Amino acid sequence: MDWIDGLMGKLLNLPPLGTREGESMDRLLNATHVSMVVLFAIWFAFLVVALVRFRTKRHPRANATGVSPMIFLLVIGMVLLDELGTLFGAAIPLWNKHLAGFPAEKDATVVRVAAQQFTWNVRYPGADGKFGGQGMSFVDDDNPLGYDPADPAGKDDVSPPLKDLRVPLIPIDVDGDGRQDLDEEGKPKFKPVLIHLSSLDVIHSLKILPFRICQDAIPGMSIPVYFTPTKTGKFMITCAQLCGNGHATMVGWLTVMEPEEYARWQANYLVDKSAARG
Amino acid sequence: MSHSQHEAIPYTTEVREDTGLYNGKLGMWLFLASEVMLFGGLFSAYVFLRLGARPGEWPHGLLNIPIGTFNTLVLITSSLTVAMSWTALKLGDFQTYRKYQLVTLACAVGFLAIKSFEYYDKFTHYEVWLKAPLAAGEHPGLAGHAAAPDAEVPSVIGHVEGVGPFETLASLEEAGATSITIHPDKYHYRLTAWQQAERTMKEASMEGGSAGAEAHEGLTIELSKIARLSALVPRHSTFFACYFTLTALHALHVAGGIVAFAWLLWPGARMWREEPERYTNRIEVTGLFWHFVDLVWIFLFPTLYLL
Amino acid sequence: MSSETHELGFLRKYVFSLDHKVIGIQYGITSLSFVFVGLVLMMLMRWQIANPGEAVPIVGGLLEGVMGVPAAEGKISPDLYNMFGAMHGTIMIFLGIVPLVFGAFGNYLVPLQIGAPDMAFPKLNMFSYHLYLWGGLVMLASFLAPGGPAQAGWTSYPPLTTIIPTDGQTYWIIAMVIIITSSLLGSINVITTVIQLRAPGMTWGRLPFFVWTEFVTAFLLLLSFPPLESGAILQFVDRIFGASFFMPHDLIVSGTPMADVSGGGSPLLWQHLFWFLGHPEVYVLVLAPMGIVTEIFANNIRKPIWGYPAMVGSILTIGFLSMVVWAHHMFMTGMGSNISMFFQTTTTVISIPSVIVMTCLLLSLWGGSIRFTVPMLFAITFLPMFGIGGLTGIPMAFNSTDTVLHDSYYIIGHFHYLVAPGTLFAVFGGIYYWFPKATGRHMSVKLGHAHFWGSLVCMNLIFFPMLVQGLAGMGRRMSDGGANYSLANPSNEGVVGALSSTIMGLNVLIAWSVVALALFQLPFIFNFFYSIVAGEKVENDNPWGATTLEWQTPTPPPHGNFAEPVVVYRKAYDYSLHFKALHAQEAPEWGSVAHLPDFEPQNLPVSAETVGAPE
Ligand code: HEA
Ligand code: HEA
Ligand code: CUA
Ligand SMILES: [Cu+2]
Repeated sequence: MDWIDGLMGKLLNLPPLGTREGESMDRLLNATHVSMVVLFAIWFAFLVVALVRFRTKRHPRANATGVSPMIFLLVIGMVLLDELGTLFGAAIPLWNKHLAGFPAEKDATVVRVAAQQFTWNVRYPGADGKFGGQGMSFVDDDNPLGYDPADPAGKDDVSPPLKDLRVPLIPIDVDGDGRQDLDEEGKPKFKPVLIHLSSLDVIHSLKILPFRICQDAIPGMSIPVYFTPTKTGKFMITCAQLCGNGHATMVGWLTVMEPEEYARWQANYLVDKSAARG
Repeated sequence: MSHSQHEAIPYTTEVREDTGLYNGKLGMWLFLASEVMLFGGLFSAYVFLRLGARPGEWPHGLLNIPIGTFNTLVLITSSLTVAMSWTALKLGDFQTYRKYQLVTLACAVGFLAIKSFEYYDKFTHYEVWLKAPLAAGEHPGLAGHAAAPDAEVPSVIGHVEGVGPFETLASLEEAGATSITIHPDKYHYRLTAWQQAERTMKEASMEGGSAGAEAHEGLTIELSKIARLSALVPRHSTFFACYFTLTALHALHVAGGIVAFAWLLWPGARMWREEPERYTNRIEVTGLFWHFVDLVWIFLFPTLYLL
Repeated sequence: MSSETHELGFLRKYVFSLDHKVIGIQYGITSLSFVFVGLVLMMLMRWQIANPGEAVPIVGGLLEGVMGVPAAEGKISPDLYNMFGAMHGTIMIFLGIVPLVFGAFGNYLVPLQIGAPDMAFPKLNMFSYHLYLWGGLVMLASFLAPGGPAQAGWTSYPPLTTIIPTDGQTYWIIAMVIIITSSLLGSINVITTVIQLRAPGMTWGRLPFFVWTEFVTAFLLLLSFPPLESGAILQFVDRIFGASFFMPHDLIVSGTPMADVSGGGSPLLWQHLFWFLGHPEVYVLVLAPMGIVTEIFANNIRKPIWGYPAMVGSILTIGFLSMVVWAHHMFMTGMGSNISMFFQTTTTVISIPSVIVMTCLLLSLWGGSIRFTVPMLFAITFLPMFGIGGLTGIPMAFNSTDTVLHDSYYIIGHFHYLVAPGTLFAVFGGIYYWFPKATGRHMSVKLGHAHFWGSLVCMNLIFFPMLVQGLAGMGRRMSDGGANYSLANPSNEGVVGALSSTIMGLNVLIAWSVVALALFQLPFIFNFFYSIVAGEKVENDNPWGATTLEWQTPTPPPHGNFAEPVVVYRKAYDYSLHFKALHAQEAPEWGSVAHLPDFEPQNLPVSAETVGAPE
């Protein structure tokens, strides 16, 4: 069935995939579209045949008796089987698996992303793995997220420029054999990324289509999102919820980097350093 | 409008056999079904917000339960008199019907009058949130605002001297005020109902109480120290937003009922002579509406006042 | 009864009429005009998408004159685009299609089809229309409000709606409350009429399918609109009295914490209230069109609709289920597995009855004697178009695949296939079909063909590319048509997921197709008005040879509808019963029955000559 996936992938023309979780989503999307096309083709063929065969000219006296209910039951049965099969066989298990798959903070690259009209604020906890404290009274132009400048846990936080979200591509080697671990499917394992998503003002939505993720950023809530990157590159972040007149400009980029490069980049944006500068 | 057209439409007065209803009654039942959904939406909003509220953020004990209870009785009475008046009409006794309906109208107007009194009381009752909390220990008048004797008090609730309804911090500043004087209430809603009862009991046993000078003289606070100030109006908190929205919508329904009953009682009463059955039906249908309005209040009262 | 109409003055006859047919036509003209407004707004939007940042040709100056700053230099600023977007959606749905399919078709046809003299509450009926009209005018007036009209989408999600400083949003809320009240009263009227005023013999099983669809639609309006009304009231209190129903704690807008709001509200609360209406609403948009299509089908295939009981059962099921699927519009708000499972399941299940209705219609064709009249062309096309729209709903019904599709043009494609070549086509078909009854004249077939084929091609050229764009990542509500997310933006060099120039090029194709679509409406508009005065006169009261009661009246039906009391003896679609037996034979002898009519009106008694047995 790989060729169907390949063909559907081409037809659907989604951007190339960059995460592990996206693979099963793509398979489901492909399969759903295949069944949609097949169903449509059957119906459409029936429609055309019926229209041609039973046009008044060819069939001047209608037959009021109608078709046998068996055909109806067959069609509905087919659709029912297809839809419920997909739902209970694939869609629900997939989503539940996805929800169950949230990595623990310690096993993941943790980032806080706070959406704002019309940009993305990014913050990393730094070496100690802890974010600085936050409070409304600290909010000002230089400190839109209200981080407490006095909190020691915040000193080593990393606060990169707006819209520029970066994560490392770290191979996992728990068993310590010097070779990257493989998952059940025999694919190499990477360190997942955990984003805590929130919003300062209105509802935005963090959509990274190449990663097949989308999550609304809702003010007053912090919602976790995760994914496991599988390759380096620069990926498009879209705001997928109307958030005002700058909605169309709320572009962002997520760059997946080699770990060393990532570390160098992080060092540039240490909070303490920038505090010393100002 | 013309007579013949009414006759063209069947079942305006008589009952259709297979449904057992005349048109107006069915229409009213359907209308009430939609009203259930309307108030249902609002009640769900209340539940949703209440479940999501942060601890200590949902005011309680600020509504006047005795008055609310009295108002409930007033409304129930009116429902009874409506039922009686309809029975009177069924028996062909227009005079008795009229007497009962006058009582209904008096109750309904009384309900609204009492409600507006309650409203006004809230409009002039303020809560003041401070930038830096006050220490309860230093202000004896704030004893009822703090969970423990030495706790901090982030906001004070009470009547503000010489300040009318609906003021905000901005409007006070605009008016040139630099400070306000507030007479703190006995308790702040931060204290649970249980805590309040406990304290009242203790005080009663100690006698004399600790009302303190500040409660009488008031506590003067500079505007510059105030973060936010609001009367007990929708802007105050989601609780009061719910309270006012629900009760105001209910009051609108009461007002609608008053208009309908009054119309039927005076200008509309002509119909009684021409088509008594149809007139009786109108009273029945309006009465259905009235019972519903009553029922809504019977849900509103405990939800808002007691829970 | 009918003598009375002559005594009425112009106002009482055409403006404050109590006659359901006049009111239906009032609804029809008003709502078609609103659809036209929606069309114009959409054309401006599509033009902007294809040419972001450029001044609008021809009407640019006019635009600036009306809208002021947001249209400075005749350009469509992002603010203006958002206003147009929100108003296109609102106007099309609440002021266009709903009043069209429910107010116009429902009012005109339901009493006729059930053999009633009028609606149960004629005055209430008039009042509903006037409320609708005034609600619509308030909505239009919001274009002139300080700050412009609503600009947060037809969904009006707070807190955005609350923090945008425009009075237009308040107008929007007020207009919505008025319109909702109007459709509430309308639905009470329709339900009461159907339950109480059915003519003797018109049992539930004999109701034309169209009446059933209006009946279910009325229940949807009755029960699902009020929660939106309560939402609108809450939003009103938020805006006017500074409450915080939808405002959470600690909002920071443009870098400044919001002062003087209590917080403690929830943006999601609005979404629940909105979508509790929103989903039933989409079935309001499509059930009555299904009914229209069914009526046209039965008449043009000359045989009974296959599976009438299954169809009725299906739409009743849709009615019930549509109240419990709303959160499939909120999959991306972060849902736990139980809630998500519930809404995925209900959403999938609710698609089955739609499939049943469509399949019944499809199977009905088999064995028919299909006449390709203009209404029939529109009705037939409804099937595959609804099919594409409905099928594209399936991948969105699954939480995981919706992640990919959410808020992309795929959704825009999905629902426009349902409402434009779906609902709108059914409506067009209905207009061509019932026009002879309402006016006594036929619409031109030639112009009808031009309208049909042109619209069909254009609709597909507009909406299919949207599905393609959506999968490639084009987001909806983009005032620049995605330019910032495309490779045309230099910052996007080498970015995976940036929109390619091919995808962006489709914007241009769509824009031209929209222009063509608009041009293909001209034959229709001309046809419509010209035929009222100069169309070919109908040969008799029942020119299509139809069975349902509206065709057994004088043309146009007088006040009070029926010349003499009606009694109903048969099911709704007794077509071609005379030939039934002969079809079963090897070599039928048509000669013996060829001269007999191929339809038996519902009020024709059952006897030896007329065939048919009481069910
Ligand atoms: C008339 C309107 C209408 C109808 C009928 C539907 C029907 C369906 N809709 Fe749609 N929907 C909308 C209008 C409609 N929708 C709108 C307006 C929105 C966007 C709102 C917004 O955000 O602004 C939306 C959004 C929307 C979403 C939210 C997406 C998101 O925001 O992320 C979802 C998700 O589940 C969904 C699913 C469905 C499903 C499963 C159906 C099912 O009921 C479909 C069932 C039908 C079929 C399965 C077709 C079967 C028939 C055939 C196959 C016959 C074929 C015949 C021939 C070929 C001859 N819709
Ligand atoms: C029933 C509802 C309905 C209908 C019919 C339409 C019809 C059309 N819509 Fe609309 N649309 C919506 C409901 C509808 N839309 C909604 C809800 C949204 C979402 C808004 C939001 O984001 O909040 C939307 C958004 C929307 C967008 C996305 C905007 C964006 O996200 O940025 C686009 C883009 O192309 C679009 C295009 C069209 C087109 C090309 C048509 C065409 O099909 C139009 C065709 C119209 C005609 C052919 C008119 C024919 C009638 C006449 C000519 C009248 C004749 C008069 C007399 C005889 C008196 N629509
Ligand atoms: Cu942020 Cu759209
Ligand atoms: Cu839906």
